[in-house]
Amino acid sequence: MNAPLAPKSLHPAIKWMAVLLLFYSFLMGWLGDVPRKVILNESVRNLYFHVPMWFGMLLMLLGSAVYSVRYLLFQQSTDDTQAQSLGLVGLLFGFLGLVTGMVWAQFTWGAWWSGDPKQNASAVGLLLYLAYMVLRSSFEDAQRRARMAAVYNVLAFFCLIPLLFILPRLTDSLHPGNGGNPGFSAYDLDGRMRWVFYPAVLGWTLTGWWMANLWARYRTLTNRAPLPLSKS
Amino acid sequence: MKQAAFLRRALALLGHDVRRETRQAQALAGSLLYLVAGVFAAQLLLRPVGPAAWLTFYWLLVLFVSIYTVSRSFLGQSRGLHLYYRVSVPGVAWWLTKVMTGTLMLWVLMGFCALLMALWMGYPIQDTGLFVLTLLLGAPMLVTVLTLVSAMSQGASQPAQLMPVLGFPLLVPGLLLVHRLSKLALDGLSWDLVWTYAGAMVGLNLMLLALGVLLFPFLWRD
Repeated sequence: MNAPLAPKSLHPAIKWMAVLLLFYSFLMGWLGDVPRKVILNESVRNLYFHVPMWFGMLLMLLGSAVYSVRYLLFQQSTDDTQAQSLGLVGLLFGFLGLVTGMVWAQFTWGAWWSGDPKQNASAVGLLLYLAYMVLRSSFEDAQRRARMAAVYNVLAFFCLIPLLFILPRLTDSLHPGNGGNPGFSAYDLDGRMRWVFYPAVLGWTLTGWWMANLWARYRTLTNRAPLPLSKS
Repeated sequence: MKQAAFLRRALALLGHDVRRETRQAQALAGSLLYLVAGVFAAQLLLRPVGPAAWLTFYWLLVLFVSIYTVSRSFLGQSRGLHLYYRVSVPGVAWWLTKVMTGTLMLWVLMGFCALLMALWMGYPIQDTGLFVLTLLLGAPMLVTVLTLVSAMSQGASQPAQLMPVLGFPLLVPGLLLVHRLSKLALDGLSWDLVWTYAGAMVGLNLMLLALGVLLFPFLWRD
């Protein structure tokens, strides 16, 4: 059976929580009160949409790496499917994070792309996981594909860490929280934004888990079913 | 005594791999010719060449020649020889041997590339000692990543096309670091920042080496 990402009995609760948290974060994200800041103005609301994408992406990719390690240890093809589906959702979140960041950058920094270290690092991060998908598609043999993909996935996750956390700190960046620019904690003097931000992070993470789970179940079914046009 | 025996075997394995590379002299000669042709084409196109362009071109050429050279270590091997190694050598030992041989070869190629570029395109590096340190730290980073990628893409439908697709994004953090470090060598300023970058390079190399020790046996299994 499908290796569950959480006990089956918890699934409905997780899904309902995801729906409620996202509903709350969208409602409060657009209508709630935010601090007035020069340049940032209302764009500070992007904290509720852009930053949860990165948190969600990192958690999805961490989960994907954990399933890859599990595959290497126990050789269960379901672990490989979970690693792939979490990697796909991580890619989706990363792409959305890049796009929401670019829209925000156009209004605050004045350009869609300014070669900021964080922009570059996230673009390379996306390339890393797109390459993971290319690697998967170039093997005929399912077991070999699963093993090679698992090894690459672990390697990619370890290369992502210096890329996202260490290199941007070695260089100057316009990004909030870097190079003398105020970070998130400077905006929420009375902690108001935290009450929307953390639920948004949790809501998106649970939604990502839900998507990955659906995709993995779909893959498991299609792997098992005979092809519609096969001769046998 | 057990350690001494292990060390002797490891040295024998390294000696064997280096001998195999030097016997296949046409292969190393191919890499050297790659550099000659690359640098010659560049000095025709990049004229006059500024220091920043010199350095960028140097790393690009080293990146390409390292992909070309390391990919041979697995993809160019005959199937029989490959099977022979698989049954007779444990994965971790083979991994360490490949990293050492590849690093030695890349040091030779990096030095040769710098010499050729100094001949045809000038030599803008102010602090040669720091540049040599960058090369010493940069080669293991390139070799560890590319050896893993080369072992991974073996058995894929298009292994040679897979190498750069998998290798480039994995190499970006390391390339950024070596580029920063060699930029300091280019400008020849004080060594204040050097230790930050060199420390990060050493850390990255150790991480990649350890990841290889953990992951390579899985690639070696069949």
